[in-house]
Amino acid sequence: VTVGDDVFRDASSSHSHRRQLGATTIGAVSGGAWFALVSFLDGGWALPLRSAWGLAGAIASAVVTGVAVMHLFQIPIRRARGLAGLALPLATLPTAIVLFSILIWSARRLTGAAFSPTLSPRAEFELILVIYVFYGLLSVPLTPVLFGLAYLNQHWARAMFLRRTA
Amino acid sequence: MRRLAKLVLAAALAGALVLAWGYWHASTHASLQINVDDVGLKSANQAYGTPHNVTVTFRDHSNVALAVARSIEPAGYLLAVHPNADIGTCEHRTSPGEHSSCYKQYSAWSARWAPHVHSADVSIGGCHLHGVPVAASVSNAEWLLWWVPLPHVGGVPRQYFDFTIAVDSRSCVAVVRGGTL
Repeated sequence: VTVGDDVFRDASSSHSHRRQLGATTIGAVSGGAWFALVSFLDGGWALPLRSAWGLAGAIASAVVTGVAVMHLFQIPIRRARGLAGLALPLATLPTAIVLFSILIWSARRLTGAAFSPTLSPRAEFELILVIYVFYGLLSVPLTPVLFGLAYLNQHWARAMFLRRTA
Repeated sequence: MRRLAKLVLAAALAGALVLAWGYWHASTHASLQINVDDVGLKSANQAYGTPHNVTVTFRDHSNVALAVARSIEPAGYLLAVHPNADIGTCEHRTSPGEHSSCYKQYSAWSARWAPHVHSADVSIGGCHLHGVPVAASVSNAEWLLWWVPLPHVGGVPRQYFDFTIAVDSRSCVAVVRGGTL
């Protein structure tokens, strides 16, 4: 190993850290924007918006979902163009919906929110997941809206990634 | 490729318009459920009963009268009465077409004042109560599914207001669950 190799490794590591930080920031901003939409659509059904802790948990769930999706799909978002880019929301949207359902269920458990005292935690999770998957992925007017927004979000994220690396 | 992207965005826009119309319609048309729970009529089997000859005047935070509801006898259920006598409660409209057109105006009127209800004046026979708190619950979930072409799922969307007023007509006092006011 030469001094040149160390310098190259340091530069590469610093570049990778910046890239990860960029994905985290872009994901957090995306998650925050999606939270505004989801809280409007959900209307306080599954999102525990009545308490301050519940609201914090719901926002955190959306931000963590955004960050996780941005990290998971960072490479395809940067590289996918044309038809592949257009088809990418078919992967990002279901991933985000499933992950957000798990996180929002966890936030509900932590803040003591429950649909009914007789509903088991598993049944509550299944209910949230089924409703979110139905409205998010199978609803004739809503699914194209979410798909279009996911596509625009991906377009914006790609532009941000390119600007950071330029 | 650009055409396909435009197609996707056009589908998203069409979906947004379909939902936006549903949301607008639900926001401007309401269905009301008005209950006066009279604990003075409680029995061995029920915690409260349905009083008769009831008049309710709904008021907002500034105590401005919003609407009047009256019990429909002999059943005793309560309906808000539209200030235009031709509309009233729409109960007298017998043909489906007439009722539908009347109810369209009735529900549009209901949506204008129902979100502002705060308290009510309640008259049950000779008992008159002022400023009774109204427990309101609102549901506005139909707009997401109004487009479904099924008789029990889709259809013209409305928001639902459920107003509950608890009183004790024997003592002529307003009641909060667990005590009296």
